[in-house]
Amino acid sequence: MMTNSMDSCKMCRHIQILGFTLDDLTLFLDTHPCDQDAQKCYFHYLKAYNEALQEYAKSFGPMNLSTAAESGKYWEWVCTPFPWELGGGC
Amino acid sequence: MMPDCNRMSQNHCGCVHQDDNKPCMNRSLNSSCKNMCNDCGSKDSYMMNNPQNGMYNYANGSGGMRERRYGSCGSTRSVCTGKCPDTNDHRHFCSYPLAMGYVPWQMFREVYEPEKGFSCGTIFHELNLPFLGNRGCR
Repeated sequence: MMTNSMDSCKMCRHIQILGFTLDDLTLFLDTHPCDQDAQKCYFHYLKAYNEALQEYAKSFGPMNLSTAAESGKYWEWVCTPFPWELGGGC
Repeated sequence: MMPDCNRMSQNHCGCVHQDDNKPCMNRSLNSSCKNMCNDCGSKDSYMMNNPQNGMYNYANGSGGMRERRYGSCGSTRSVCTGKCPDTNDHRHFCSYPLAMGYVPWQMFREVYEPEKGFSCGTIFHELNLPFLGNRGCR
């Protein structure tokens, strides 16, 4: 479980960092909607962000509803621990 | 705390004080205004420092005078003629020219890697301006 917690924490931080990067790029693009370099950078990190979310969901359950997988058995969103319930100081 | 406008009177310098027994603000005044402003009271100061309370506003009066309008009673009094540049309140600025603010247009350049951007609070090097509250010294 400790390994799981540490892995979860590490992945969680990675997602937070990418999320912050996207938020800051969004602020820039809101005032510079024609800036192609900024758009390119945004979609580069958006791809990495979505991949990180999918990877997290596979290991620890969905972090948000957009990565809640259809298992057919149960609504895993409510059955898996939230990131802060995994411990590890996230 | 709503001031009682009927209790306010006006000094011959144009500064307003209140007819109560509260001690006067120790404002630094030039000699031409010393005798006229020393009795400005604490309520006056309260109002001067709370422009959002809706109780007064400034407006340009005629002949270059500035008037303070007390919203509760609608009375209008001249408060500054530009002769009191050292008073420790908004009157200090009445002789200043109006200024314009500006924000330079940001370019997409010098973007940090996500990890560094996260720790700096911005991914833009140009916006990484650590204000440390000590006159820019670390």
